[in-house]
Amino acid sequence: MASGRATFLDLIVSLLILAHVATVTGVEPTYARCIADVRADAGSTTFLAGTLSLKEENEVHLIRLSPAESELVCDGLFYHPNEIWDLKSCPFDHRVFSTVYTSGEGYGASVWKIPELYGQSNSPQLEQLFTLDEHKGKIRCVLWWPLGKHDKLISIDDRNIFLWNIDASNKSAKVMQKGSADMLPNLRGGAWDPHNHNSVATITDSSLHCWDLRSMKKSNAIEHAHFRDVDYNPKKQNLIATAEDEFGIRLWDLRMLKHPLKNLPGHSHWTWAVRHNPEHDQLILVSPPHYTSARGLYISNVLFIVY
Amino acid sequence: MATAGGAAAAAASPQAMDEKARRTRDLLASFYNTDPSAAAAAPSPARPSPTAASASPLDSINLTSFDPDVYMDVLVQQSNLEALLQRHVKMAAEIKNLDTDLQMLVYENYNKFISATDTIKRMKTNIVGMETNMEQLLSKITSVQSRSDTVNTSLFDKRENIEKLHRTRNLLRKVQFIYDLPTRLNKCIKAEAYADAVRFFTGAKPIFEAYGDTSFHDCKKASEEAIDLVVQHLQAKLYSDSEPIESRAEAVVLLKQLNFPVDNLKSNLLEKLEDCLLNFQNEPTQASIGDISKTFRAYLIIFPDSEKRLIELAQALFTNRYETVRENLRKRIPSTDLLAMLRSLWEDATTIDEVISEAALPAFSLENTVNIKWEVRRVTAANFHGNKQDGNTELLVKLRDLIIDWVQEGFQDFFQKLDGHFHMLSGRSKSFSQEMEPVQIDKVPTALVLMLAQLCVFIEQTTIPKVTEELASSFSGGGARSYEYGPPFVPGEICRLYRSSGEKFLHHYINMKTQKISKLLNKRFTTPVWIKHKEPREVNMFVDLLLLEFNGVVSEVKQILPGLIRRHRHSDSTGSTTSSRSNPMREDMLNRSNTHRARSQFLENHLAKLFEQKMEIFTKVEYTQESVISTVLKLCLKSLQEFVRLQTFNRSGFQQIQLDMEFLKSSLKEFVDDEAAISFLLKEVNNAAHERCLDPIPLEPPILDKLISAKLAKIKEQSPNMQ
Repeated sequence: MASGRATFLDLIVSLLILAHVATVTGVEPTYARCIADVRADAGSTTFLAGTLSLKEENEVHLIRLSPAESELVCDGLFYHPNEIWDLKSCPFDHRVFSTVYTSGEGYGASVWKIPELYGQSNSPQLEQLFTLDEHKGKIRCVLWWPLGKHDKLISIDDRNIFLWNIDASNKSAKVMQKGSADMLPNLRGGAWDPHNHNSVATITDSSLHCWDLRSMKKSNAIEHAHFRDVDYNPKKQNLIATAEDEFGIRLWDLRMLKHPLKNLPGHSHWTWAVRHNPEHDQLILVSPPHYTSARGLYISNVLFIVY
Repeated sequence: MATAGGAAAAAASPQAMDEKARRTRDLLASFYNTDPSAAAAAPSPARPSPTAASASPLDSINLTSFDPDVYMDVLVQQSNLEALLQRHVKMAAEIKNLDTDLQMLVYENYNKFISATDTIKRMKTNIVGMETNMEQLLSKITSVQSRSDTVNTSLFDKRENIEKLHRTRNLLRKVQFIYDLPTRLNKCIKAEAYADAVRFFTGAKPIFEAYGDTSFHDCKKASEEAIDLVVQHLQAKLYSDSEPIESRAEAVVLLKQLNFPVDNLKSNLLEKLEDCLLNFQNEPTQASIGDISKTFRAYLIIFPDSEKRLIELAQALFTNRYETVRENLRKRIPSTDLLAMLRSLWEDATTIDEVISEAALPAFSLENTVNIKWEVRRVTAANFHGNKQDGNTELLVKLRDLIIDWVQEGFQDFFQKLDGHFHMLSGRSKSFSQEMEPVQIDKVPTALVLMLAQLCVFIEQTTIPKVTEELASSFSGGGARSYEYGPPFVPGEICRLYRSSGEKFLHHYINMKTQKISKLLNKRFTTPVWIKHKEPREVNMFVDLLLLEFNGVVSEVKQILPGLIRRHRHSDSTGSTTSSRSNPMREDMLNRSNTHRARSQFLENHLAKLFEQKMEIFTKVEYTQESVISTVLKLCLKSLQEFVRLQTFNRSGFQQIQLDMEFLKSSLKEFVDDEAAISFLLKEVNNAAHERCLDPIPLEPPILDKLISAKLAKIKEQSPNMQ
């Protein structure tokens, strides 16, 4: 998760962060559904976490692992207008991140900028760069191209996938392409291929599809599985890992989708998230739904799988 | 006042008024809303109750039972002059108002009446015009009909002509096909599309038989020549070993279609095989047993009816080979050579057995081997007499060891293969590269998987010890084989294999069941718009479906798995179950939060609670009804909770969840005895809904009880019907 520095350390770090979120914000442990590592920050190991609370104010926490790697420091606590369902850090600017949020009925997605921190840790206002407001349905997630500077952004709602052209300096975003799920069941999320700007994998309730962003056409697909999450192997092309209801973790080669390369055991209940370690691609982090909802100690369930 | 007075006058003589008039008046009164109590009293206006009238005669002015004399008396008695005067002024104003109202009403009604008569008049004139129009339309339609009839009749002759022409054309086409047949067949031969050629020829055959001697003579001859060529090609194909088996089988089918004597071919081929087998017997190096088994398989596919003959051939082959062994025995060849010979024989027999299992070659071989053993003993005995005590006793021992090894190896192999087969049946086969497609995961019956799990346990706990015992009593020893191959039968290994398989199947079963229910829950929670949910009126239908699924699980599990004496497991699930793995983690965590000492106390409690609960949910699954059922149940409730946490509810949505969970709580009691865990999980679902609700006000307990008892009554009502 972190910028490839440590392996098991990351696990402990994420544990600590969630404990941190739980303890910093008020009396009761606050729910947090998402946490993202700030890859663009090369100097230190930093994470962003967003809270999920209907009744109280929501916040984005900027958390840094201190150089001794033994303590967590909260570098910033920012007010966020709605509860956060998805949070991704910009891979080339450590002060920029995206959130997907909901206010009861409506969904929204925005890109935010953390203001300069002049010593004080509680700078209240986030700067909203732009909103991605072409969506009609439930927005699932926002994707940044994972490996560096790229002027595009992808957002996925339950029926459509949008490709945006973003301009951070002008604070604007324009839709370049739009793909529709058509006959597919509702989309659930996706991942952007780090080896290819034009390829994105999306998951639905019962299938996985690859999209070509130039034509917005769906290509190869895996059917009859209930996918929860997908992640591209950061080192090897065409390899993906999926988290599924039935099989736990499975590894696939996109060129041969008939059978998976490998079945790995997941959690005893559900596995809802899967991520490769960015440096050691044979190390996978998976988590049950408790982790993504990150309440108290449920996260002791996070598994590392080495294959 | 005027209307009220009129109504009172009418009420004074109720007998004189007939039913219809009274109804009209009632309707009018209710329409003009003279007084709600008047309308209410209307159904029984016959006798105004004296108590009501005397209670407040001053207020009864608008009632139908109004009595002006009583009113006047009371008024004069109760009021002074000033009040009476005031009353007079007020009443006069009211009367004026009512008069104008009445006038307005009458005027309005009159207006309406006039406009209605106007409308009726206009309708009349319009209809008169319409009649002529309709007549015109009718005449036009009849003329159209007559025209169409004439057209139809005039075209009738031509139509017959066209049909005749069409028939002729079809006939010509057929004739053309016959004439083209030879060239077509030649083309097919060139392209090696023999199947097409045979199809064409058999299609044309009836015609050739009918008219072959007259009109189509040349054509028939040419076609037959072509077909002869086809037959030759097909025969060549059949005889050549290099062709794939499928095409050879196809060739046979085609030849059969052409009425070619296939049986001859078959016997020819089989004779050839016999020669080949003889060769093999004499010079075993020439052809390998693998080739022979391949040939056997090919012939089985090509000639499905040749099995018997093949079995005979195979048995003859092995009889002959055992004969050779016996001869060698008499020649007293070295013992190791003899053993090697027997071993190769055995392996060959198993190879062939894979192809034609009906030949029962292993049994056959075993018999022969035992015979040989006796013979060896006899020979050895003879040798004793001859005082030539060479390696023959040693040979006997080795032979025995060999047989023991075979038996043990056979068991090992059998159990391993059985395990593989189980996995394939359950649809979890890992060997995707096999020819057989893995069974679709959805199509595997869940009961089968559970059955397999139970079977695995049975094999592990009962069969294997028994087999081991048997082996120990009858086939102990062994070890003629070198230890490089490993020991032949390892009960421990097989037990381990089956234990792990059994566990896998059990988990697979639970998985399949929870998957199915989880799909149901997914539908339930993603379809409605929870933020705009309506007030809960009854327990949602999904609860019924859920209970139905649970019932299915219970009935399956009860049929297959053994029960367990009921006992309370609360003590061991909540007590000392905090695992050693997670303990240090928690301490670490608590140390971290030391800085926030005030809150850490709360956190500690919270976390401790979470740990307890987690341990309770994911306890180890055992092979008992209770364990499996409660695991399925717990996992499903856990799923339910997770689904709830993904939604945002309004108050009614939250109340619906509350109602559903409350009902589930009472219904799930009959499924498991771990009631505490279930009610805890249900409470967790409720908490989750509470957490995700904008306005979490729970239902009042009486309403809750009412809705639940209504549902229970409904179920009770349905259950006798279902029986």
